[in-house]
This record gives sequence, C-alpha cells and structure tokens, in this order.
Amino acid sequence: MNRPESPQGAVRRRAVSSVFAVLAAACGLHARAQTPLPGVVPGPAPVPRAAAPAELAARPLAQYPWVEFARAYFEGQNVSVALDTSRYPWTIGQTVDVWVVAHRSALEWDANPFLVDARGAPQSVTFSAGSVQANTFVLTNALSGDAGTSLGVGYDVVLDLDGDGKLGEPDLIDGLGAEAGFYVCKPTALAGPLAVTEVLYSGGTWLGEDIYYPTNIAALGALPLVVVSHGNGHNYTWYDHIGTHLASWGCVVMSHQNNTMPGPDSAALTTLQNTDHFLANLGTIAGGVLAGHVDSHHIVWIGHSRGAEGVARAVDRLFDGANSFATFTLADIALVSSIAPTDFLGTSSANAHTQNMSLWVGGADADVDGCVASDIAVSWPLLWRATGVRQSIELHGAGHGAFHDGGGSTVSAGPCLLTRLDVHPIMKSYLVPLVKRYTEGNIPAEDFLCRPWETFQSPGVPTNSCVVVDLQYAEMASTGKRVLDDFETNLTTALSSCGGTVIQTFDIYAEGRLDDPNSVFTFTASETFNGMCDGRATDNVRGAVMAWTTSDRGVNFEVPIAWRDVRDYTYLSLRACQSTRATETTAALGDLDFTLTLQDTLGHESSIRASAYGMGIEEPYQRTSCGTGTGWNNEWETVRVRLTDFTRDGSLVDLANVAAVELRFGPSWGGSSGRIGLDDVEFVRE
Amino acid sequence: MKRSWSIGLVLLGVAALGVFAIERVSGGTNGAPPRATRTGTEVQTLLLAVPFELEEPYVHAWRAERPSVQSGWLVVLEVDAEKVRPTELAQPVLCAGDETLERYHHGYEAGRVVALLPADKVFGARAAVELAARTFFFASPQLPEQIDALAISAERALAEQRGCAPFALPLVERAARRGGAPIVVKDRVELDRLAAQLILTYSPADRARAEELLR
Repeated sequence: MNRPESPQGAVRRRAVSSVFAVLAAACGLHARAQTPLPGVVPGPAPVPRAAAPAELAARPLAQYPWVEFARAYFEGQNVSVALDTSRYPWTIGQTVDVWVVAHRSALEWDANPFLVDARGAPQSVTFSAGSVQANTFVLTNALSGDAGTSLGVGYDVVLDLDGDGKLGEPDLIDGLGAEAGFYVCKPTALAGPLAVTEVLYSGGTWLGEDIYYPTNIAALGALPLVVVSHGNGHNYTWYDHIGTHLASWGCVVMSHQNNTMPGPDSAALTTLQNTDHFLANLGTIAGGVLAGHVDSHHIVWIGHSRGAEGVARAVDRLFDGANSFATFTLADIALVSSIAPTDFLGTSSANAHTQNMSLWVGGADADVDGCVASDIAVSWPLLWRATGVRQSIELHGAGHGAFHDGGGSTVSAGPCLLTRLDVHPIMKSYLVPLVKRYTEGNIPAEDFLCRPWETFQSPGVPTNSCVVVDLQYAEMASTGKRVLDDFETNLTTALSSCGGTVIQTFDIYAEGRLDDPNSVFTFTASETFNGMCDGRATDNVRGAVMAWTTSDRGVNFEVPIAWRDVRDYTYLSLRACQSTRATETTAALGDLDFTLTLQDTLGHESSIRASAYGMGIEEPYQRTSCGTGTGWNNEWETVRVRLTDFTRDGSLVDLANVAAVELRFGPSWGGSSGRIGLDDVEFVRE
Repeated sequence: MKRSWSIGLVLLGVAALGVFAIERVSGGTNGAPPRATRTGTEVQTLLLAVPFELEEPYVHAWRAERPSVQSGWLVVLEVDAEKVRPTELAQPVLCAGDETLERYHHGYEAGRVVALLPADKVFGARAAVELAARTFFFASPQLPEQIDALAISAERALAEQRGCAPFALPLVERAARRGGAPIVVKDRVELDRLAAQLILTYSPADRARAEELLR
C-alpha cells in the first residue's frame, strides 16, 4: 500500500501536521504526484565519489513497500536484489552487473577491490524508472550457507555501475562494513555439522550431569557452555534434543540433576553448584577431554518450569552477591532462557536483572498454565523484569511436557495440540540462533529472533496449521533506542513517556498495568486490561489498550524535536496484542492488520501495512477454561518496520525530520474492528 | 580404616533393606509390596522406618531455616496419591511433628513415598517410641523451602483438627523392624543409594529417580 489517504476525520488532529497538509495540498504536493527525490534527505541527488553503501539484498513483498531488506535467508531460498531507483535516479536505464561476493570488511575491500562472484559469474540487470517492484531481480544460483558451527555465510551485493569489475566509484554495495549485505544460513532446525558424544557423570549429591559435546572436541577451541536445569518431576536425562542439537552446532551442553522439589530457590542453588562443579572439574569429567575446550565466559542457562524460575533466581543470587564462584561470574551468563517458568519468588527474586533473557511459553500448558487465577502459573513477568535484551517465543498448542523428551503426557489442554515431534524442531530452530546471538554476537541470528514466524522459519520445522509461533524482541535501553512511549511514565493518555503529545480517536483508550485485574479471562467491557499477563502487582509493566468498531481510528505519537532525526536508527518497533475473548476480537477472529505511518515536519507521510511483511497481531490461542469464553492470554508480538521502507518509491517523508508516528486501525487501514494492547513504541538500531 | 568401617555399615544397611524388600516383594503382586492397612487419610501408614546417622552432615533444604542434619529416619510412607501428584505449582508439604520430610521422589503412581525425616539420633528401643509421638500430615500446598517452624506448627494444629494423629506404637515398631539395623554411613551419597533401593521396591514407577541416586 503506497501512501494511503488519511483516515476520515480520525487521526490527523495534530495542528502542525494539518497545517502542513493543507499547505502541501495547495502547492500540489500530493504524494502520488510527486517527482521522486533521491536520497533519504530531501535535496539534490549526490553523485557518489566512491562505492556507496546501499540496501540491495531483499525479499519481495506483495504490497508497499514491495521489498524487505532482510539479512538472513536459508539455503535454497530465493534472495533478490532490489534497487529503489527513486533514491538512485542515475541508475535508471543502466544495464548493470550484479555481483554477489563473499563478504569482505571495509579494509579487505580496500586491499582487494576486485569482484569475484560467489555464484561463478555476475548477473546482468537493467534498471528502469518507477517502482522498486520493477527493479527487483531474483539472484540466480544457490549460495552456500555452510558456516561450520557458526550461523550464516555473509555475502556482499555489488552493483558494478561502471562495469570495471572492481568496487569503486560509482558502484553501490550492500555490505560495506562489519556486516555483510546478507547471510545464507543452514536450517537451524536440523543438526549442525559435528558428531556428538554424550556421557553421564556424577560428582555427588545433586551433581549428576548428562553431558554432550562434539566428538572431535580436541580439535576445537573453547566452546560456549549451555547448562540445562530441569523442572519438578522431570529428569536431567530428558533433554537429549537440546543437548545433542546444540553440541552438533559447537556447544558443550550439561544437563544436571536439579533439586526442584523444595522450590526454585533450591533449584537455583543446584544450577549454580553444577555450573561451578562442572567448570572446576573439567580435568576429570569425561576423562578430561573437555579441559581447555569450555568457554567459561560464555554461558547460557536454560531452565524448564521450576528450573526455569531457578535460572532467573540463580542470576538474582549472583546479582545480589548471595553467591560467588571462582569459576564464573554474573558477567559470564550470556543468556538466561526460561521455558515455561513458574513465578513463586516474585519480582525481587525471580529476576534476571541485567542479563539477556528469552522466555518460552506453551499456549496449551496444563501445569504452568498461564491462567491468571495464580501468579505462580504466569510466566510472562519474568521476561519483563529483566533489563537486558529480551525475547519471547510463544507456541500455540504446546503443553508443559512437550518441551522435554522424557515421554509420557505432554501435560496439555486446548485445541490443536502439538506433539514433541512438532515442538522440538521449533525449539531447535530458535535455540541455535539464541545461543549464537549471545555467545558469538552472531548477526543473522537476530533475524531469527525478530522476523515473524509466518515469513521466516527454518526448513525442518512442522508446517501444519496448528503450528502458530509468536515472537517478541526488545532491545535493552543501553543501545540508545528512542522510546516514544512505554506508558510507564507520564501516565495521562495525552502525553507519551518521552514527553510528546499523544492524540487518539478510539472508542476506548486507556493506559494501565499489563496485569489482568481479576482471576479469570472472562471478558467484560469494563475490564480494559483483561488477559494481560506481563506483570503482577509488584511489577511496573504498563501499556495501553484501545478499541474500535467498524470505524477508522488511530493514535498519533509526537516525536520530540530533539529526536526527530532518526537516520541513525533502523526500525520503528512496537509490540501489540489482541484482547482475549473481547467481542471486538471474536467478531473477526484472525490476524489483525493495521497501518504504520511516519509523518515529517513538512506534513509528508508514508504508510505501511503490517500485513505487507506477513505480520499481523495474532489472535489468542483458542483455549477454554479460566473463566467463560474462548481464548487464552493476550499474545503480544513485536512488529518492526525498517525506517527506510517508509521512503520507498519516492516517498517524500524525511527521516531527518520525523514529527510523528501514527498507528491507524479500522476498515481503511486493516481490521475493521478490534481491541488491542500496545506497548514500547520506539525507534531502535540494528 | 574409617572408610572400611563405613562401607561395612552400608553393606549392613543394604542387607537389612534387601531382606525386607525380598520379604515384601514375595508377598505382593506385580513386584510391588502389598498395601498395608490404612490408618489415616493423607498419610495413610508407615511401611518402613530405619534410623540413620551420617559422618558428614547435609543441609535440609526442605524448610526455610535450612538446618544442618546428621541423623534422622529413612522412612517409607503410604500416602494419598493426590497429595504427591507431580506439578510445578505448589504441593502439600509432608511433615512429621514439627519437622518437614525430604521426599526423594514423587511417588504418585504407587502412592508411596521414600523420605528422610531429620531427627536427633535415637537408636534402640526408644527410637520407635520417639517416632510414634509424631503426627504425620501434609501441610497446605506451598514450597517446602519457604515453610518455617512457625508455619509448620500452625499447619500441624490444623492437621490435628482434621483428625491426623500419630501412628500407633505397634505399627511404628513393626515398620522399624522392617527397616532393620540403623544405617550409619559416611554421607548423603551413601544414604541416597540405600534410599534408591527402597524407591525401586516401593515405587517402581520412579525408577528414573532411583537410577539417578545410584549413579
């Protein structure tokens, strides 16, 4: 959808925008009639004096902005090259060789500018005026994604505009720098390249360990350590699917006995003691083969259930100084990954603090069931208490026992139940990028954690219609992200947390704590925050809820003057959910579409539908109980749109002067009716 | 020398428990001991009790005070299986008198639990008397690691109000005879191995847990 009309009498109430809109109209500056201007910053087209960086490697889309400049692709998946000629008008009419080159750093390009196509030969394309659609070409030939135990082979894309076979003026390159233009990845749901050895070890009471490592570890360096802490009634030998898989991708995995029956604090102590014992006894465990091959500074803790709360509590114990070890410190815990955690210990103790955290939730969990009747059975607060990078993976139909491989019941309730054969490949497909992201700083891994399941999933995962996966991804504050509104300060609805004005036209619009106010998911119109599970009474997690019925509505967040230049930012990001069991939700059950709009200080605007990327706001899992009605917790999903996508095809919107972000809903913009939650509207970097 | 002494006692303990296990298995069906006559609703009966003493103490993690323990009872109880149904959420806490028991396993399928009851060292005839003075009960669902002396006392009063009472001395004495000679071993690792044998005998569905303890 390219530059849609404004909502009828709905959102555009901001005086400055309206004034400029009128002026623009009077001057004949209707967006559709505009002559495209080059560059992100309006002005005359600069002619590059050396090879210029550009976004080129792309995935075609069926609607505006027509292409997504994604970073990660799977082997065998089409990669396209796309050029927005409105930004590079000097390329129009040119027939150009497209080179796909094994990624080089800037220094390497300086040393060796000669182009060598990884496919054997470059590909000739001709650029034309008009939409990027007409200038999108599938890159021929398969590219290798074999990066050994790492994830993704980097390639740079070069448009050799002068045809000299070298990188230089006036060529365009996607990938000039530390990051490649794109990455081709092996399927992460499938085993990695290494054979795996498993050994059982016991170092004493609660020190039984099931250890997995690459069989040829003697030839490898120091590998990240993944520790698995099981749940109550579970067993440390029930995680072969995790241990074998991650070891095949170059990790050492240790699953240990866990003292869960007294509670998660005892489990936390067991996690700490096993981590310490393991690192302190590498010289003897498994005959000493691991000595020198475990990187004690890159540790991932994965816990399940009480053990999943335990790993957060273990971080808390290190954070508080209650425990310390010679073998590792808090800084060495690269990631805490909690699978269906309980929350017995609450805000102050079940808390991963500054560490990176991932959360796994099964929609059909019949034990830690997520029903708001008990805070203990609701996992989500653990995620939002952490302040590192946070991500969640929610699987419809996955029961509590589906996450281990111990057999027996999957401890599940609800429709469209998944088996372990469904769940484990999905787990594997995300575990690899999780571990690679936080132990290696792997770049393409971030795509796995951010891009919606619907459009980016590893070969090898189940594809039946019952498989629904929702992802959230939140950068930490220290990245310098610009949070327009997290609803946690400036608590009036007319003011965002960053101090900008908020104008909205919804039938219902409220800010509040993301905590269901009673013990059931039963919907009543007056219970605005029904189905919210992100915090308990002692957690400060807030957001907004808005509703509309068959009319166009919207909300406009002013960008403060000092923040209006967003060229240094990569994405507009937000998270949203549909309200469970609400009449507006059940009226048209399904992914809910909406439109994101950027407005600049001159009144130009550009709009993109979430569905353009295959995204939408997921409907809640259709499970009953926990009150009357159908639908489980509100399922948040992160929606990220690349800022330069708003500038596609000659859009006049100026990323150096963004005045407002507007979210539009209703028949003209997406779902006709809806009741949704909204949080964390922000500009983030890649 | 001390090590040899400990090993000898371990073997003695294993022999005693083994005799009992054989005795019980021979009288049961499908390899499991027969159920004893029920004497309570939540903790139904005491099947076996044997005093233990360790050279090296361990931390009793099943109560908030986390006391150090060097002696007590290894017991096998028949219980209301619903009280020990595995869950990640709060479970009833098994208590005896003013103490919590450490359950080695869930015991849901068999309705039998092998557990450790921390207690002062009392060997000989007085031991059964001391044990017979305790009321076995399940405290309300909560985390054992969070229950303290005050809470246990309150839960005990509630249990007695609902009819929980100590086992009769003859029943305890019978259970103690089944248990055989006191176990005197070096540490929890050795004690756990003996407990594992009891799990295999009385709650064979929890074999995986027993195997953990035997490794």
